Formats: sequence, structure tokens, C-alpha cells
Amino acid sequence: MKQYLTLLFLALNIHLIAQIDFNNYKTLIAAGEIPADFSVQTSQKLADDLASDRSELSKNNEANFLEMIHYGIDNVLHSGYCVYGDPVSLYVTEVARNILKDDQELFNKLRFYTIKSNVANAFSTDQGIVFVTTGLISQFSNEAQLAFVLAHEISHFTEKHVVQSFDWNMKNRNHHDYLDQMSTYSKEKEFDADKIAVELCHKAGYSDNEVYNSFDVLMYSYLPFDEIEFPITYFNSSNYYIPEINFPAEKFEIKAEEDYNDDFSSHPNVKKRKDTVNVALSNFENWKDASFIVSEARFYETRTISRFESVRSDVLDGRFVNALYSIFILEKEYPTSNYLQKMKAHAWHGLMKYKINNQLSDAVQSNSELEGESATLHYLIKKMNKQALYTTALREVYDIKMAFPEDKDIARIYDKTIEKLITNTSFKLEDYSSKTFDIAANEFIARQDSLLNDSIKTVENTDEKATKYQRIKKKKDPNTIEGFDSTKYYIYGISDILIDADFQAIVLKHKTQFEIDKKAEENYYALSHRERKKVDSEAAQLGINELILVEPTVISYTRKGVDYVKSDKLETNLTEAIDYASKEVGTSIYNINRKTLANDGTEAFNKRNTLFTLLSQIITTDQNDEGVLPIDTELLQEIQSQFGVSNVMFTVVENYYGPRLSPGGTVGMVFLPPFLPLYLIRAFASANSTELTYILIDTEKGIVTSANTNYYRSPVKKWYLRSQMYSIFNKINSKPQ
Amino acid sequence: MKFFFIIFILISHFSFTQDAGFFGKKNVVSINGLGAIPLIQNFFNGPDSYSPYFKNKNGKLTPAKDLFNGGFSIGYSHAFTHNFGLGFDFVSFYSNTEGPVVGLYSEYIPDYGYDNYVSVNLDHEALSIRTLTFLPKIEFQINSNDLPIGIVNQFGIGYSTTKVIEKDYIYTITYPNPDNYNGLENKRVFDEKATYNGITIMYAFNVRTPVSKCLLINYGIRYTLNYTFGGESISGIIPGSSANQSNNYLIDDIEMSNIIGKNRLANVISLNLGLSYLF
Repeated sequence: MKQYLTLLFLALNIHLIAQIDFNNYKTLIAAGEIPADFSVQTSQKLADDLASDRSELSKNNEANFLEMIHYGIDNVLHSGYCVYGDPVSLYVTEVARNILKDDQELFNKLRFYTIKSNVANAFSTDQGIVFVTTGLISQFSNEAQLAFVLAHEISHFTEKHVVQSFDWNMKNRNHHDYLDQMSTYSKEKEFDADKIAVELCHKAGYSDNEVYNSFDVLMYSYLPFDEIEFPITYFNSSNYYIPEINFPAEKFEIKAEEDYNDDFSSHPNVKKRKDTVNVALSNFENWKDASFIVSEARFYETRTISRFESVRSDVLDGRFVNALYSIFILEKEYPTSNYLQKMKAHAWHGLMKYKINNQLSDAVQSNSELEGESATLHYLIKKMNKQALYTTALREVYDIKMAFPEDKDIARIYDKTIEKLITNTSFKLEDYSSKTFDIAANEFIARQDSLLNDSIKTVENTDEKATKYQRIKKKKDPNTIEGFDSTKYYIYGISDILIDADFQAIVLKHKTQFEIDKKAEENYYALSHRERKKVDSEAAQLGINELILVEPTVISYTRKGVDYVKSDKLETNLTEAIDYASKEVGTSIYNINRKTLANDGTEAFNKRNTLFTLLSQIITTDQNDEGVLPIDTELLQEIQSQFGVSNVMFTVVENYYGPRLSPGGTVGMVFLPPFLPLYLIRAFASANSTELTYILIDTEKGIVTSANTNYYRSPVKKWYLRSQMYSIFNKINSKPQ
Repeated sequence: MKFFFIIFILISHFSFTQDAGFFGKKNVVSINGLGAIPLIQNFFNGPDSYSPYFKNKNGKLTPAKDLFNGGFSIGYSHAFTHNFGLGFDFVSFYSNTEGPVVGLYSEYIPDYGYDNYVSVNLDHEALSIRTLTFLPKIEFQINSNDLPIGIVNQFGIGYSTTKVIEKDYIYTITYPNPDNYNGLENKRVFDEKATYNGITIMYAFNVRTPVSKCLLINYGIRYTLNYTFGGESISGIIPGSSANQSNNYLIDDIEMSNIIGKNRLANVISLNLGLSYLF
């Protein structure tokens, strides 16, 4: 029966493989029944664990440890980046099952989840959860390398390294040599885990060569997932040409070394680990030669999924050039992928925005960071002046629009790109030539040839009636032979776009709107201060009486750090206050909260993740409050359809409690006794510092509609919160009179 | 008084922002009890001091300490922004001060044709005084934005009027020369109907804790600097007159204003506890 079920399970997974359409790729989402790790509340997990005996730790340390791991790990699980039941998690689970095929009991204790992040990492927890990032999986060459990393993490769990490290820290943190000793202790644990992982891989039947090669993955994981030469002709077409001179003359060396200084690192350097593993490998004989055991096809599919997620992560994080390089690699296999081209459009639009806002350094590597083949692209984009980058962005987005004329997201990116350019004073259409670079260059070359062949007198005769100023104007006109400038290759790059009727219509639309907005701005600044305040006040009245509320959060700090248990309890106050205030004002609230996932299930979990991703995108890439083009438009539209609203609110309350007593102040007040009572009352009454922040986002437009942070010296108590939330809802619910 | 009241009501209709307030309510009416332990007065008015403090115990003057001064205040304030407001307080404060210690009367010496000014020592029961203060004030918050609740700093300058509470105070007179008794017991020691005006500068640190949508509990500490204007010699010694005509009072109001002024100056700190209503 067990074998039948196993076969059925594998068959189902094979069916899943056939369904991944990389041309219309959809980001990983959680699937299946929601695991207890996600649905059980943290306070419950903590209570259950406290009831059991942890003999490795003292009672006091046990409480601290359990609080730290449960709240810490639950924050990862609910970060918005973690998924379960997805193809990647399922495949990783299968590989782990193979590693532990002789230890079913251990396998049953473990759970495997995926984190959608470009940080190449895997880690295990004391609870038996193993996280693997898509960034790491995208770097592997084969299943054996993944297996070794999983085996390493499983070893940390079986050897209880997490609790041992915590215990060691508690005992030694006041030691004068703490940092050095901690580094040594931590490295010893890594060596131990490597040795046990070698044994597990040997039992599982993987290749010893690939186990050894896993360390190359770790060493070079900071580079893109492949090292393919970026051709200097990549952007060239019949309409666009970037001369070779704009590309770097030499390659950029990859500087990673195996034997780097690991004195202050928690992990040994690669050389030490390789040496240790080499010895461990030699302790076992009869190594099998398998690079793939579970499924080669599934490995490559899982890796491709991870690479597609890598592109998405880079776009979300504003690392647009990294995204473009990754797309370049993936395009070879998926040239017609709508997803990749859409991400490319996002990346170019993002680069253009960054260039306008002087933020390009956030997206391109600094000179010292340039390594490997991807550095060519970083170099090129870094070297582009404003006009070059704007033009290239427009060119790329236009071409993608032509390739996918029905795609609404791409159409929106195209529209936004034009809007951004038209409203920027550096971009002027009259600066551009109606000829392509080839035509203009050929005309120029032909003229140069004729200058060489003909007499000087003949040339002068043709031009003798022109004035000095006419000659200057000719040289400035990009459509004339005299005006040809090979260094300004970009002005010849959009000749076909300029005559596109759709483009012209969009330009006109945005130009008109720009003039209207400019006039409105001038009128605004002509108003008196009082009138402006009135206008601002009316602008803040949004008339929003329905919204989705995502998980109100409280973070409570003391002098020792975050008090997770108190934070959890105070969240109940905040949730109740929001409920109360919304009813008072008449605002309808639709809740998405991790505390109700046990009832709401995987669908709610995915919605929550989608909204957190949008929030993260806005925070990371929209520092000028211009709005973003949401990545997950389909998922957002599903949310909008379900609730009938597009407005989403996030609220965070941060509270710090610490009486404001200082030794100097207290001593001073002893000498000024009349002020001592004031000092003491003030010290304790002002002990609370509370910040309440809310952000209201329009998920359809990708903009922050309203946001504010309010500061007050009051505790996180019922009536304070109710009043604050009442003010917020009242403000956004009001309509201008 | 009425003028100030109207001004505040009018201003309350022209709020600068619609976001200030507790559930949108920006007006606060407060009733507070005030209390102080007169440590400074007790320090200076011990039994061996120049001006000891006496209480009336069974008709006898007994050295004692002043244990408690207190009163109440009724106030109104309006929050204009998240952290600034205006208001006013009416304060009625009861305290006790040591009685006068030196009396002066004039004695007409017929043989010599002039008034002889004679001072007598008094042991007088402590005077109960009541001060009424009208205090316009500003309210503000530092590092906080939730007026009218939360931590509220108040600062005000007001006008006060103090009066000795009328009652039968007991006292004894020590004459320098008992043979020259002139029936001083028939004289009144001081003018009990006189009022003594002054200025009060106040700083208060209050914590207003909401307990419902419109009710707050407030508590805090209040510092006042009270200055009493000097009196006029309205009923003191009239030089050149005979003892039969002059000197309605042993103590003139200059001396009384000094006594009251010292007491008011010593009333620096008080604690307050009360309720506020929001609307």
C-alpha cells in the first residue's frame, strides 16, 4: 500500500511538472492544506514547548530560547517570502526523503519550505524546519549538490546545534574573548555538520565529486547563476545600435578565493571546508556516481523555477541590472516567454526611474564590485548618460510591447514609461533623428568620401550662401549629415517609434496632462498658506469606506530587545481597537491576518504573501512616492475581485518602555529637591514611546494613497489605540465638502 | 472673565486641523483636587522660630504644624492641533499661614503731646486663607501628538486674589509695659475683609488617561510662583491722632500682605488628581 501511495504521489508530481509553463510563468504560491507550522499561533507553540522538558537548558534559558526560536522562525514563515506545497518545496522534500530513506522516523520530524529570495542560503531550525532559498537552488548544477546542502542542514538538526550554540552563548557572552571564541565554536559545528552530511550522502548514493563541488556553489553564489558572455551585439537590431566603444575593453576578473580570512566569520572558509570534507570523503568507500537520484528532469525544472523567481526577486528589490542579465541567460531557452519579457520591461522602466531620480547606484554595481560576465552589462548601463538610458529603456519596452500587443501589464509599463519621459525635461523628441544609425552613418561616410574625392572649391560652392548660424543649426540637427554624431548613438534609436501613431497619441495624452498638472501646481503655490492648508486637508479626505486590513502588528521593545510575548498580546489590543474604530466611523474592514489562517487556509496565506510583496516593492523601489508597477497584477486582481476593493492598509505600532531615569539626573534632582517629584513622575509617565504607522496602498495603481506615523508618549492601551485609529479612519473616510 | 470665555469658545470653532482630538473631541472640562504638604512653611514656622504656627486646641493656642493645604480647580481647554492647545483654570486653594506676631499701636501721651508708638507681641492662631486664581494657560506636548490626552504640559500666568477666612481667631498679647494697658483687647487685630491680589505663574505636568470615550482621569504635579502685591496702609496707624480715635487694627494691611505673600510664595508645589470630560 505504501509503495502504491508513493507511486501515486510521484505520479501526481510528474503531472505537476507538465503544468509549469515557463512562457507564462506564475510565481510560486503555497498549495495544499496549510501546515501546522503556519496555522498554529506562535503563543500556542511556545506554550506547548514550555510544557515539555528541555534538559539541555536551564529553566530560565529555556524560556528565552524557546521565545527566540518560535517568534523568530514564525516571522520567517510569515515574511511573505515563504511558501509550502509548491513544486520547489515538494522536490526538496523528495530529495531529503531519499537522503533519509533509512531513517523514516527522522524524516517525519522534518518539514521543508522554500523562501523566495536571492540570498543563496539554507538553514534548519530547532523545530525541524529546513528552509532553502530559490537563490541557492538556482545556483546548483545537479541534485547531488542540493542533497549535500540538505544533509548538512539536517545534521545541524540531529546534532541540536541550534540549542547548543544558544547555551554556549548564554554561558560565555560576558567573556572578554567572546567574539573569537564564538567564531571558533561556530566553525566547529560547521565542520561536524559537513562530516555527517558526507556520511548521509554516501548512504544515499550520491557522487563524492559532486559533494566536493558543492563548495564551489557556495563560493560563487554571489555571482549570477551562470557565467555566459554578454555579447556586445545584444541590443543591436535594424532600429538600434550601440557601438562597441561603450562596452568594456577587458573582462572583469572573478575575485573569489577559497582561502579567505574567516577570523570573524561564523563559517569556515571554503578551503578549510573542502579539506575537511576531503578527509571525510576518503573515510568511505564504494561511492556511487549519481548526480541525480530522485529525478533529473525535476531537478532542472526546479532549478528553472528558482531562476525565474530570481528574476522576480531582483526586480522587486530594485536590482534591475542583475535581473536583465538573468533574463539574458534564460531567454536563450525561453525566447518567447511572456513572463521574462514582462520582467525585462519592468527592469528597464525601473532603471529609467532610478536614473531620473539619481538612484542608479542602487541598481548597478560599483566599480569594485564588477566581476564576471554580468559586469559587462553593469558597465554599459553605468556608462550611459541620461538620454542614452532613457532611449534604450524606451526602445526595449517598445519592442516588448510590439511582441506582446495584447498584454495589459506590458501596455501599462509602456504607457508609464512614456509618461515618465514626457514629464522629464531632459527628454525631448526633437533631439532625435528620423533616421536609423545605419542610414545616418552611411550618409555621413558617403559625404566624407565625397569630401576626400571632390575639390574643396566644389564643396564650398554648395554651401557658400549659408550663414554662420545656419551652419551651426545644421550641425545641431540630428537629421542632417552635418549633425551626425556617432557617440550619440541613441538619438538614432527610435526613428520608427517616433512615427508610430499609438506612441504619438500616448505622448500627446501625457503632454496635455502634464500641462494641466503644471498649471494646477502653479495655482496651488499662488494660494495663501491658509488656503493651501485647506487644499491639503481636502486632498487627504479620500472618501474610502472599505478596505482590506492586513495583519496589524505590534513590536514591543524593552532595554533587552524585542519582547515577543508582550508584542503578541498587544496585537490583540490593536486588532480590537481597529475593529472598534472602524465601526465608529463606518468603515468596512476585510481582515487578512496570520492569526486566522487555521480557518482561512492556504488561499488567505497566499493573499497575505501577495500584499506583503507589494508593500516590500513599494518600500524598496519607490523612495520618491511616485508609485510602482505591481509585479503580481493577476494575484492582486484576484484579491480585488474577492473583496471588491483595491485599498489595503498596513498598520504597525512600535512601543518602547523604559523609564527615563539617568544617574546624573537623579543625583542632580537630589540637590534640587523641589524638582525631584517632577523628575520622577516625568520619568515614569514618559516611559512609553509609541509610534503608530499606517500605510494605505491602492493595489490597482500601485501607489501609496495615504501614510503617516504618529508619535506619542502613551502605552499601547485600548483607548489610546482606539482614538488613534479613529482619527486615521475618519481622515481617510471623509469626503471633501 | 466673560470676555476670555467668549474668546475661547469662538476660537474653538476655527480649529486648524480636523485630525486633532480624542475621537475628534478637542474640548476638555476638568475638575481636579489639589493637595500639598507645606514642608517649606513648616520648616520656617517651628515652635522656636520667629513666627511660630499655632492651632486652636480647646480654646488654647498650641504650637503645631500645618499638615495639609488643598483646594480644587475647574478648567477648560481646547486642543487646536495634535500637540497645542489653549485653556483656562479657576483655582480655589486653601492654605494656612502663621498669624501676625508684632502689633503696633499708638499711644497719645497727653503730657508730651505726641503719639508714642508701642509694639506688642502677639501669639495668634494660624490664619486660614483662601486664594482664588484665574489662570489662562497654554497646553503643549513634547515628543507626543495626542492632545488632549496623554502627557500634557501646561503653562499659565494668572491673577489671584487672597482673603483671610473670617472666623474667631484666638490670640494673646504680650505688653512691653503692662501698666500702660490701653484696652487693646478691644481692637481688631487686622482687617478680615481685606483682599490681597497677586500674580501666579504656573507650570503643570499632567497625565490624562482615557477610561472611556469621553472621560479621562488626570493626575500630575503643579508648580506655582505666587507673588502678592503689597497692601496700602488703609487702616493702620494714623500719626498725630489720639489713641481713642485711631488704630482700628493692630496690624496694617502692608504687614498682612507680607504674611500672606510669604505663605503664597512658599506654596510652590501641589499634586492634582481629578476627572476630565471631553466633548
